[in-house]
Amino acid sequence: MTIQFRKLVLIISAILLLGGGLVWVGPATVSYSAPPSTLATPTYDRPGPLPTVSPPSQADNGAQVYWGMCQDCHGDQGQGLAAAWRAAYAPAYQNCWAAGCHGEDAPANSFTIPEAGAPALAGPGALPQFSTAFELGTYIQENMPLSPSGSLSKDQAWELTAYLLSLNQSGDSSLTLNGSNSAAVPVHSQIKIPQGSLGGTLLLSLALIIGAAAYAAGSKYLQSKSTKGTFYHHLHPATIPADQARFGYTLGAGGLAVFFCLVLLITGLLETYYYLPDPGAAAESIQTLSILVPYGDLVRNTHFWSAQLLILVLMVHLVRIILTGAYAPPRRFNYLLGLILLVVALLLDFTGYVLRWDEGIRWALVVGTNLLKTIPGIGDGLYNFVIGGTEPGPASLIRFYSWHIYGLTLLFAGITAWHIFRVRRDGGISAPAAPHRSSPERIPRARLIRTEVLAMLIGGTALLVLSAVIPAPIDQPLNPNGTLAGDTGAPWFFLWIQETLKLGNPFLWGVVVPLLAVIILGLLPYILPNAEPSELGRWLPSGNRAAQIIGMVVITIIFAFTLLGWLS
Amino acid sequence: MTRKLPPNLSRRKFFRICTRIALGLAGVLGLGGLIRYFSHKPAADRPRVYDLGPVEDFPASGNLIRPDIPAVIYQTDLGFEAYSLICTHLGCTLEESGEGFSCPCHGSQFNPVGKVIKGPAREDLETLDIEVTESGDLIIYTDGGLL
Repeated sequence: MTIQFRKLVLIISAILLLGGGLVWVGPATVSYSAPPSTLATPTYDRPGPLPTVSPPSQADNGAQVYWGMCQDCHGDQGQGLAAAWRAAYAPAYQNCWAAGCHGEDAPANSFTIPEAGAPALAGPGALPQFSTAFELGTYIQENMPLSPSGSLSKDQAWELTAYLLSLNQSGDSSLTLNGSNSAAVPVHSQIKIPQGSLGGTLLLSLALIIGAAAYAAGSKYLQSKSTKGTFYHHLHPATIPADQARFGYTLGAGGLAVFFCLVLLITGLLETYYYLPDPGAAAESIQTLSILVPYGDLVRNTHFWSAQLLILVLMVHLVRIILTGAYAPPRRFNYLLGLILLVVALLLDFTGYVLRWDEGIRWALVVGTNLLKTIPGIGDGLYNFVIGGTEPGPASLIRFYSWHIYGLTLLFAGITAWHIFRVRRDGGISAPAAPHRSSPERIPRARLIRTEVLAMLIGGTALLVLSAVIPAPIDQPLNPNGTLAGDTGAPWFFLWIQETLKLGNPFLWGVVVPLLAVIILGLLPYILPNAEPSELGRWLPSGNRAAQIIGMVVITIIFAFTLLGWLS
Repeated sequence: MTRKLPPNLSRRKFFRICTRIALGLAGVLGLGGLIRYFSHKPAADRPRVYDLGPVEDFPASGNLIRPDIPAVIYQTDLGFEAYSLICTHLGCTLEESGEGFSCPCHGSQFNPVGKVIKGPAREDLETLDIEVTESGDLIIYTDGGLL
């Protein structure tokens, strides 16, 4: 075959292809543009034009782009610049290492292929450096074709990504990839589907709940003398008054909070094995954890849901303490400890949320930290202390990370231990003094433990199912130079502050007012009348009525603003 | 209906066994999940095949040392030969020293054709498969060695 003849064949095929493309494009209202113009001016030998598909999927469009721009180097099957593929060319075109491609007819913008050659794009071990379609698509758009790199449109880059996924029998042909959904699509064929953990999780839940049922049934026949007392037994008092342990009174909120903290500790520890606190790698490491690591999504979702539920449970606990007047002396100080724990838990949730370092956290981070700057006098210093610079960057992420996993966690663990110690020291959960009790009955710790174990088994099962069904949010990696609007919402537990901020002065509404709310709650036991000892152990005692009203007003306002933020 | 179960005791045992089986199963499942969780390999394997380029580019005399593989390639009358430059002792990458190679970690020494001349290594360097393709490329295969 002469070169002239090849050219002729190619031109004819290009015309046919373009024609075919136009036919498949159909009426002008279809948004798909004509195939890339490169198809019309192929410069040398290549296999005949691709058959067109109607209607084309994103991958089919990608195949056309690939045919026009990529196959010369990467092979018609994605095999890379392998010997067999090179042999398909006439000798004049075979050595792209030395001569600029493409031989004698090298176009003006021809380029030399690096010595390493062009890698294979399909088959086992291909595309090793990419775990998600987002990484692959971004790489393609920024770096391909080799020259001039960056000349692909965004759409073309996503079409090529879809095509490469289909070459690797990966991806989902019904999904149209784009910048925001691609972060959750894995690239590799050996993980055609994300490492699903649903089956295993449900099996585990089933085993737990059966265990809980058997335990509940069996422990009815508890013999009081049977337990010698394990370490866990000895963490509990030998007996407690029955009045202290009614579920309708305690709501089990404090116990649940401890349970969630334990779950958070374990899942958080597991997450540190895969999380990378580096701005360039953080979001991708979370994608890797969520998509590629077996049960990684379960670990992350459980951590996420425990953290959200912890805040809710702590709020319930606070409301319960106020509405039962349980903070009356000698428990005033422990009430303050509890309030501090709530604040630290909010900070833990916020720092953990920032660790995602994806587009979803951008504005919450900017707003949350800029609020610090509005504090007169110490604002700038505080900002620098938190952010480690004049704007969020690598130093900020490592600071948030250290606060989240060490600083705040140790503080929280220490105060929690203190809080629980004070519960014991102050005479257990608040209840009427002995003469006022409804019954003299006392509960042995075996029964306490039975309740706790059951609550943990049932709560753990519920948490597992919730985590298996509703995943924790994840967005594409944060682009520091991006102008993407992103998610402008605060995390839900700070929505109320986002709403009050709309009212005006950021220092007043973003710093003073939230602080004031905490201070008012903290002062309740100290400036308002407390419940009488005889009134303890039940809801709505008359002794601290004023505190109940003020406390509920504060909490209702916070709740109302949160709701407002949610709706808007 | 004349016989009744002995009250409490056997039921208690029965439920205790059920509890242990179910929670034991949950524990095994959780442990299995944990093992799978840690089984993920974050980094891709090193390549097993290296294309060294056209034979013509190969130096006419002397060795070609490729620290990225790591391997040493040289030409004999019989054709190309290659040795891995991974120490057979504990896997450090060897350095050139005099005629041969020595290990910077524990001092093993090898002669230019990969025979051990001084311990602690006890085995000679691993021979690597090398071939010239039809199109004239030099291809070298590794099996990963100690790494």
